[in-house]
Amino acid sequence: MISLTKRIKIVDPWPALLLDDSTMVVADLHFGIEDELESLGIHIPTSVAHRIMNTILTPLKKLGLNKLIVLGDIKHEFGYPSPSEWLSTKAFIKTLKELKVDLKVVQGNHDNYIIAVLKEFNIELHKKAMHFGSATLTHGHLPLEEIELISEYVILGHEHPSIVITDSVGFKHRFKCFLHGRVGGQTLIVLPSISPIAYGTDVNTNPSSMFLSPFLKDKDVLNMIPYAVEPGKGLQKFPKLKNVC
Amino acid sequence: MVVSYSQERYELEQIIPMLEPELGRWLGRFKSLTPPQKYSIVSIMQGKSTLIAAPTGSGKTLAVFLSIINTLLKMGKEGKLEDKVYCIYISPLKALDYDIEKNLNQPLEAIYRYAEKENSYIPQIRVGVRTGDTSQAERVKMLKKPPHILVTTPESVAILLVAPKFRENLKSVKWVIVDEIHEICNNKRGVHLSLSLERLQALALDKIVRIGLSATIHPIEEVARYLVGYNKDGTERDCTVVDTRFVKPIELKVLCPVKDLVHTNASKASYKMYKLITDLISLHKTTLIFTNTRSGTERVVYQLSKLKVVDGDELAAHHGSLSKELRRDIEDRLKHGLMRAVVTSTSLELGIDVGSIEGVVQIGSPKSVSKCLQRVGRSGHSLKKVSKGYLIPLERDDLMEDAVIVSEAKKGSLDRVHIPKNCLDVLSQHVVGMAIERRWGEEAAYELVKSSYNYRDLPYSVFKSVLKYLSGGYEQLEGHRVYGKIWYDDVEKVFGRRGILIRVIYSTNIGTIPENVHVKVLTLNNRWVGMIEEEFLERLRPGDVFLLGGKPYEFKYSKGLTAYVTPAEGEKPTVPTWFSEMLPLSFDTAESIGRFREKVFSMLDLKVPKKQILETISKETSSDSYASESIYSYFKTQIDFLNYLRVKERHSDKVIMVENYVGERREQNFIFHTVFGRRVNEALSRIYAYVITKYAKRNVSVTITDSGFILTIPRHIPLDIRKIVNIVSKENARHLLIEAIKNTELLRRRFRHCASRALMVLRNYKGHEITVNRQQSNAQLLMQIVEEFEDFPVLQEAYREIIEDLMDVENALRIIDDVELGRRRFIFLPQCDLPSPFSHDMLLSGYSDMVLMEDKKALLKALYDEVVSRVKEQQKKNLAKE
Repeated sequence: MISLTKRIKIVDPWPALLLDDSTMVVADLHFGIEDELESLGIHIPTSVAHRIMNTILTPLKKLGLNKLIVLGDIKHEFGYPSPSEWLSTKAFIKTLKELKVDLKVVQGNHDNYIIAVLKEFNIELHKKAMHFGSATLTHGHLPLEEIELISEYVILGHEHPSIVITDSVGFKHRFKCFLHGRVGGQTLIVLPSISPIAYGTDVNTNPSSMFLSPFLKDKDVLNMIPYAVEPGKGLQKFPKLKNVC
Repeated sequence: MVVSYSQERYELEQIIPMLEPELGRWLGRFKSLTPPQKYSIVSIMQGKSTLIAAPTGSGKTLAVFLSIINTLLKMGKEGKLEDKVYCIYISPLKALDYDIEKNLNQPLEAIYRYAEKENSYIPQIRVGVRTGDTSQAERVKMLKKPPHILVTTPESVAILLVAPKFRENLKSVKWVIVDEIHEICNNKRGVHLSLSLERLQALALDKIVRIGLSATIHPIEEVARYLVGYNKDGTERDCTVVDTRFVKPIELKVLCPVKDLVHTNASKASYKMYKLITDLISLHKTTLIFTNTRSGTERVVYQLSKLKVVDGDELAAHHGSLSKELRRDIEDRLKHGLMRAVVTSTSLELGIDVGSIEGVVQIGSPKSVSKCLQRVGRSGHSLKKVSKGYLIPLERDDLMEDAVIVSEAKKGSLDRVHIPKNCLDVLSQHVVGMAIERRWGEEAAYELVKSSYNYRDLPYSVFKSVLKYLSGGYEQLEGHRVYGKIWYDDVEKVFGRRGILIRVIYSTNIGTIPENVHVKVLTLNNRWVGMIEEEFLERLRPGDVFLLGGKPYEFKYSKGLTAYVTPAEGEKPTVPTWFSEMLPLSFDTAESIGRFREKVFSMLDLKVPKKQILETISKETSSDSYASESIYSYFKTQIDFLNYLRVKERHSDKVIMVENYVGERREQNFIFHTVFGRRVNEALSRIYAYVITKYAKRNVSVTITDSGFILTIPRHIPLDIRKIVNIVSKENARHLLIEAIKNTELLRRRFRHCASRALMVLRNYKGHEITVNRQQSNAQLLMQIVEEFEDFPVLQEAYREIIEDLMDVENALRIIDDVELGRRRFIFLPQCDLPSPFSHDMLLSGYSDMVLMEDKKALLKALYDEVVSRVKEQQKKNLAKE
């Protein structure tokens, strides 16, 4: 476990946060991304849904937790859910119910049409943001003005950050990463996507004009600290972004 | 043996009476037949599948087509010639196709003229070319009135097989000709073609006569088996071999540009080399100059044009990156004798008719005897003329290779060809093609596949795993997902087409070629600089300086398939330029080098007088005095080094030296003098490196060349290299190698190629080209998903391709076995802060790779340490500046 603040920790070695030692936060599940890839001519021979579930359930069970927040983008399609999205999302929620895990969802930009599913299972949906102690949890796609920022920390998803590190021989290694640091007068904590196949932003090689989230786009992000994570295998804090190449 | 050699020779006078009178009269214009013609015309006439191996310019085309035209002519006269395809001619090069069309129409037109004169009726025999370039209008025309002789490429054949209407015209095929079979059979294009031929046979009403045309290749029986395949009962099909490989006299010489290549600096050596080439150009009417890379081609043309040895328009470069029009123009001018010198990499190696060339110059090493003979064979237009080849080494190891290649060529030994087997990506593509054709019983399909030489040993279970993959059988949770490419009923054991889109997907994604992707290099203001390979780009970091076209450039950034650079005049390159297009040294030639080393060392140890040694070298290897002198000097410095270390042993094919050299950065370099060629060294180096990562818990940097490899680790890590070497055995080596490549960029890239061939990642979908970058990141995602299936065919294929085709695991295992059995031994030299002379070229020109620790956690920590030390270094520099 790596503590970012007293109440916010990274679950080592997983792409998940732990709040107040009781609630786990994950972001960007993107169930059903296979459908989009298939439409681009990429044939995925198996479903990734079970992998996503394992990545969430393994640390959850290990730490004996029963509270989970999903910080947006449970599913991938923008529009009406595809059959596989329905199935995966329902299977996911059912499994959590069986394990008696209390689930809360903050809506992401891909989560249109999800309200019906959540309602069916009586799950709380936060449209823009939710507050947890001194932290605001928001998906990260909405303009800053639309979020009520009453707290010290803002926890985000949406960006799917990753870093690229070149070793001494010249090989490039890419890892999902957390980002932590002060940007535009706010302390931000950005979560990596939990999906093994969702695309993201290489935060140390792309200029910040290429970033997606209004919290990060065109901002000075170079002083943020990245924490590289290989789900289930390793977690490593790195020097500030400007020094990682 | 079912492969038999053609023994019966037929002279012109014997053959003419066997032909239709018009054709016989046309043939009567010739004075005599060439050896391949004498041995093959009747064999083909008798309907025997025939493989003809003969040098270029020996009349192979006529040998083949004479009987075929004769039969068609006869059929025509008897009114049996229908609007159908009877003969398919396949060549790997579109340019060759157009040549053949022309060459065929000549005799045909002559025959029509005779007939016209005599007022006799002869039906027309149509010849048609169909390649990827053929227009839609021409295709429609071809469908209405198909050519009797279809001239095409391997890819077009596969497309025609699924063309619903045109395939009907293929049922009548009697002959298939595969030209330049030596260029096809050793790669996946050949594997692809082999299955196409079996599918064509399944479609055809008669047994197809297969005719292969080849340049120098060995072993010729294996190529014959590749050509004809196997019967349903598993027995070999018959094939007659016409072996006239050595009918053309050939003269080879090794010319060294300076008196002592060992002690001359590179710039002087290269200046002298251009001088030498200039002399050779003036001596000959037309000279063809081969370099080993495209960039080398450009550099040589540039330097030669500066020397103004011939007029500007009499000198040109010819390589694959040039436009089609430009290349054709140069070929035409060559044909008409308007060129004095043409510099090329590989594009003029194949049998395009380039007219009379008097001399061939090879810069650097041709890397194998076969390649050397193939290239030199481009000179001396007629069979009687002597082919003259001059090999000019640039570096010490080149010199050794050139000398040994010439010596082996004189003995008549050739390198063995490697034919890939059981390629599951190509198989997947064909199964989709078969499913589009019709519904297949699983066993009948397996039988067809097994009749191909490349799939003879394919296990049934593996074939089923391909069907499972293609039908979407690897889906776990949601069985309903419709991702399959084929429909497959596992109970009834039948498969067939699924969906209507698949035909388009198949036709637009067919083939096996996209192996090396080239990246454009532009300056920041968009000026063209050249092309580099994608693999090379992947290794570049902003700030790196590399050579392109002989000039240094600093890499700035890349965007898609374009790299942006700035000129870095006067700066030293920070990364070695390496091109995967560079040929690997063949294993057989490498072994000969090992034996040659032993021979020269023993002469030196026996204190044979220098003069006598020089004479022996010069006689055996046709080296000029500078070359023999340089070879002598190279061995002398090495023996001095070994004596200095008090080492009594000497390098040979049986004795493998391992140096322990501590370099300038205080790193330990274990230099393995394994002269087995790059393909074997790729495998050996990674096996040992992987064992080191396990024991020393460190990433290991690997440098690989044709004559050895270097494993580099930091000095403070204690390592007993003997122990590492002893851990590897014949039993565990293959497994260690697989583990070593598991986490590499190499595997990801090759997986992408395989995924693309297996139609898992499409290059073209619904009319959109999918960029390579996108394909690459897609493939990376896919890799992670399929890794959990042990038997997933596309991933299995990526591993197989790497260890069997890119590397040579078979010979690597043989060497490890030899060491275990005491047939070869390792000798470990004491630690030294100087590298031996034999390792200088390795240290300078090898390309590097990394074998990584498996432990991701440790890898992250190691990368962290690297980043932190880089930050510190930068801070120090900044402080120093202030």
